[in-house]
Amino acid sequence: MSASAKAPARTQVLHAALRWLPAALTAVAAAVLLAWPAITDFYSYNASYYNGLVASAAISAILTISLNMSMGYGGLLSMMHTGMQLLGGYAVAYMTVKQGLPWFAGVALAMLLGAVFSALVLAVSLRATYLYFGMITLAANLIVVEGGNAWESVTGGVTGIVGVAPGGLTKTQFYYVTLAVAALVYIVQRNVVRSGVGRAVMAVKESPDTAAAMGIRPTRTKTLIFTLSGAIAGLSGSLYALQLGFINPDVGILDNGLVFFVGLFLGGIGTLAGPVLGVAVIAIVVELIKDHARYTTLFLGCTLLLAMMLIPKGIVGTWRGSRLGRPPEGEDREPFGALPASVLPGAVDPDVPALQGRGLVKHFGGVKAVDGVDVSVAAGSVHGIIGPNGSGKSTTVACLTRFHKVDAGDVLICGEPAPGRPFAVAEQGVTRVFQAPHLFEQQSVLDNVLAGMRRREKYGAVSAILRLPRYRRREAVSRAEAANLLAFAGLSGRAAQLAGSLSHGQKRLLEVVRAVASGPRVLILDEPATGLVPAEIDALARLCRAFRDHGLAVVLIEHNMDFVMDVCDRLTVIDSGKVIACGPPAEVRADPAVLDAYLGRPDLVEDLN
Amino acid sequence: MSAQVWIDGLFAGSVYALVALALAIVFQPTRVMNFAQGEPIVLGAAISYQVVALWQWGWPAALLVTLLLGVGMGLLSERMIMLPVRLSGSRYAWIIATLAAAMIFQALFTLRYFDVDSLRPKALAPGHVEVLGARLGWQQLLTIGVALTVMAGYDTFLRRTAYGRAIRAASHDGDAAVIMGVPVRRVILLSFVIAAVICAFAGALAAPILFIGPTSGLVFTIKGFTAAVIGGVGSPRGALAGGLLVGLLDAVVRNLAGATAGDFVVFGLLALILVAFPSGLFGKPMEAH
Amino acid sequence: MTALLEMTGIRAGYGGVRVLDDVAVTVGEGEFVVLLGPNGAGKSTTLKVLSGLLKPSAGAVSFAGGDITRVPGWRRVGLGIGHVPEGRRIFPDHTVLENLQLGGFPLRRSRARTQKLMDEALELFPVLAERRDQAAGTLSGGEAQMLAIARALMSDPKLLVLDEPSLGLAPLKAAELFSYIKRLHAERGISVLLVEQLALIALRLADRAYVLERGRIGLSGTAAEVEADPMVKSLYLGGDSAA
Repeated sequence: MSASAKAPARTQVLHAALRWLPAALTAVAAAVLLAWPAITDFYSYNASYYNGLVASAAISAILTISLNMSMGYGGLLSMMHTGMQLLGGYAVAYMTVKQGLPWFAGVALAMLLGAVFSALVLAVSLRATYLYFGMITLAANLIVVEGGNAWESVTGGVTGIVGVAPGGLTKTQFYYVTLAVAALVYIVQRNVVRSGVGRAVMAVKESPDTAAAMGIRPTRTKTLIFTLSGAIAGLSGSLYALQLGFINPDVGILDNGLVFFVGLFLGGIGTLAGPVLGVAVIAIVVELIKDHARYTTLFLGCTLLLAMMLIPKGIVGTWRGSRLGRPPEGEDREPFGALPASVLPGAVDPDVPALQGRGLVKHFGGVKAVDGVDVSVAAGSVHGIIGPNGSGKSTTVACLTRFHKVDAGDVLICGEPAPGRPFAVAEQGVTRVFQAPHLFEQQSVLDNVLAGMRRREKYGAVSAILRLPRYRRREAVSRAEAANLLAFAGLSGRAAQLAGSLSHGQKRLLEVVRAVASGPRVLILDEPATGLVPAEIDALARLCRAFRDHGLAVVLIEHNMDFVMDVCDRLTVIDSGKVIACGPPAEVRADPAVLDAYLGRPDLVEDLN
Repeated sequence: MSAQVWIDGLFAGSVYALVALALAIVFQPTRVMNFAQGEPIVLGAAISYQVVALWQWGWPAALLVTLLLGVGMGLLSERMIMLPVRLSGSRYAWIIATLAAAMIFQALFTLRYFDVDSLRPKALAPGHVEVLGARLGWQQLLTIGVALTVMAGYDTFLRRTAYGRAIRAASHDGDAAVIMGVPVRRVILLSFVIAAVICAFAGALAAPILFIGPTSGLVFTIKGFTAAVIGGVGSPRGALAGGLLVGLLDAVVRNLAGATAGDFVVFGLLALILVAFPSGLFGKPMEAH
Repeated sequence: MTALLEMTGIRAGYGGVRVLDDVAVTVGEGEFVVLLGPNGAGKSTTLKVLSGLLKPSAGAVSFAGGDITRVPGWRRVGLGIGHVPEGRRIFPDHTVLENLQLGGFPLRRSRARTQKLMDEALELFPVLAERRDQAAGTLSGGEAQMLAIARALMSDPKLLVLDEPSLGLAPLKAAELFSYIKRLHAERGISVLLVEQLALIALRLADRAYVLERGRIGLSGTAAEVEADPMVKSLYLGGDSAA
């Protein structure tokens, strides 16, 4: 009895200790770094070497954070980060050495150049797919390096510019400057990631379609994160030149980028602390093997390959996935509370269909996937779209939400013609949950719901980075609403847990909650019940009914007929791209055409009997 | 501009074309754009330098060693790249793994030949002929000839043999190929080996003329990649067209505007093509890994 | 009747999601077996385990008397399992003839046998003979499905596995296809494992049937027994199975 009582107490203490462990480690590290110049001065004749070591690592950490924002959070493969570092270095060298202006003016120019350059690269390559985008950044990087080689009057050509220095600052003062900038950049990263802006970025990375269905504009979001990442890369380059005293085109070549990739993947891509931790580990290791410096690249390369195989999620990711490091598993709770009013459509006109498609036609090559479909979904109802596999249900929905361009027909949202782009349709209040789950598995359940709210959040990146009142007020409201929604769905006990650790059924439920968080008038669910156990299907049915009772139109594409017959008010049956029946479930079920479509026509098969 | 420029351009272009072909061979079944594909070029150059220039064993020995080590490098690359790609699950795994492999090979070459600027043995086919007042080296002619033969041979292999059809099938749909009885993993291993051997021979043949240093691998990868993008990563013919175009452009621009301008124009062209034609000029789009 | 294929105690899934739980399917020598079930019940997953594309976490697969649980997928084709995958998965850039040659990949060294199989396939599906040099991507849905079946026959299989062959076909085309399958089974004695959504047709063709429901075998028996069970209709169209 006493033993069993002790065990949970001990786990609790352990968990509390573990929760504070990162903070404690950070505090110790911060203290050591602040006292570092004094320590090295006391113990070594070569203090400036050891100070420079830490400063260089801090600068690497800044670049790696920038890379993390672009690749880890934004999903934008960048091979031009060393090039942007070179640009930043040129900016500060040109301003200080050639123009005689103060160093911080150079730093400002470096950030501006980095931002403009990355925005330009993104703007010209919006049509490119993921692989090609990476290749364009590679070409951009090569152009910067070759440009540095060629434009001697500004860049000093192959030899570069020497004598770059932070005028007016001692080496030790500059050490503190780099440390402070690194800390600031880390905070910027955290503030962006933990705001609606960052959640939108992650949504676009996870799936541009899901993001668009939540009313997030993919292009705008990508531009924002890539520009910010570029500005930070430029900043890092300017500090690099100031720290080392020179800049030349070799800084920009891709070979030098390997160390940042190693840092990012070793520490953990897509985590806040990963880049810093990874760079720190590399700096320490490189210092330890400096007597065999010619093996450094070999060592880094092998480390990277091994890390990818052994700890594919990096140090931070592996820790957070481990039994000790992950947030404690939540518990199941009964649903309670009510839906927050702000996500509900309010008063609806029952006579105007919430979503209507008229004469929709969609060809793929010569195949008519959708062939003149009429469908009308009333507000405050659950409308099922059913039909055999490959009959055109999903294509119909993709037409209704403008993910496909229709070849003929109109789409009306509450009587108004629907806009042409998916995110604009979502802004009009039509959202959808896709067949394949697209949750942010590495984020908490609560954060996942918050991502759905981005459409209704009105603050921008600046408010988020500076945590202005505008951001704070809205974030508080968003969190309260998200908590309400989770409680209503019976997931309140699991709000802090990582979404990836939920059961399959809970994940589906969470996706529905996230979609509703955007405050839609029409909610389209594509096969939500697949793979769910009966209790989970009941929970889903309860949510659908609750949404309907509050005026939402719910469209259900589903194969589980018990579920469909149970919750739907009306059914549209599609076969071979045409509507073959439409009406209340009981009527549809008895329709002979529906029976044939589902079970086949044995009488057509020759020599069967 | 003399005819010499065109000849040099065609010669360099045939080497880039072979890299482009090797990139395509690996890319098709794996969807991995191998940034270490230029390293076998350096391997071939290093072997010919070591065996012909230093040990004086002659070219037949050099070609034999090139074949053996080329196969070894292909096998090793496949492990170094495909294991992390399969185990990691990250969408960036391919680029990180191939870059790491490139850096590892480069580090090994640099460790062995840190005091060598250019890995240059004497020519396998010395001498030259005069063509329109320009010197066409026999070595150059040999390399161009080998490149054309390899292209034609691989094209035939893909179209006419059971294994070639299997490779094309595995490129299109790996799972469907498996249930046709195609050993897709073995096809992938074979692709890495073929690609490495092709590049190693290209390196050995080009070394007497072209500048190849211990760290030149990545440059060849990128030029080969440019050629592959221009030609489309689908057909050996595209690789050939792309490679020759890159080589000629490079040579012509260098001749007109000085040495540094060549790369600038080639990379600028790469960017322009990627931006304007997201599926290459002649080929089908490459889908990402 | 000896068992040609025997899957026992199969458990499998993707990531953390378990799709199959203790599934057992047997196909006897010369038997026609159909696997029914609503979407998401695990039919395709069962076939993936059979083809070797998915490793089961528990259970065993044996074929023609040997355990093949650990045999890689490509080798199973040579043992005598021919696949007609869901969505056909023909190679659109290959010609019709090349697709057929690919189907004969495991037998590529015995030319005479391949030629004989090719002649048989083209005789069975004359429309493919007409289009032999056309790119497979230009075929219509029904022709492409015939090509997929002909391609599977090129490895001279003992067992033909078909995953939803009627998918996306008009009722008449689907009926024509089923006649071919029926003939293959009756005339050549090939065992068939058919996954099909059109339950009534499938049950008329088959000797025995299994019904998958949420990753478990919910019902099995002779085709007539299964057809008579009210559960089948309710699975597809909902409602109380007792009614």
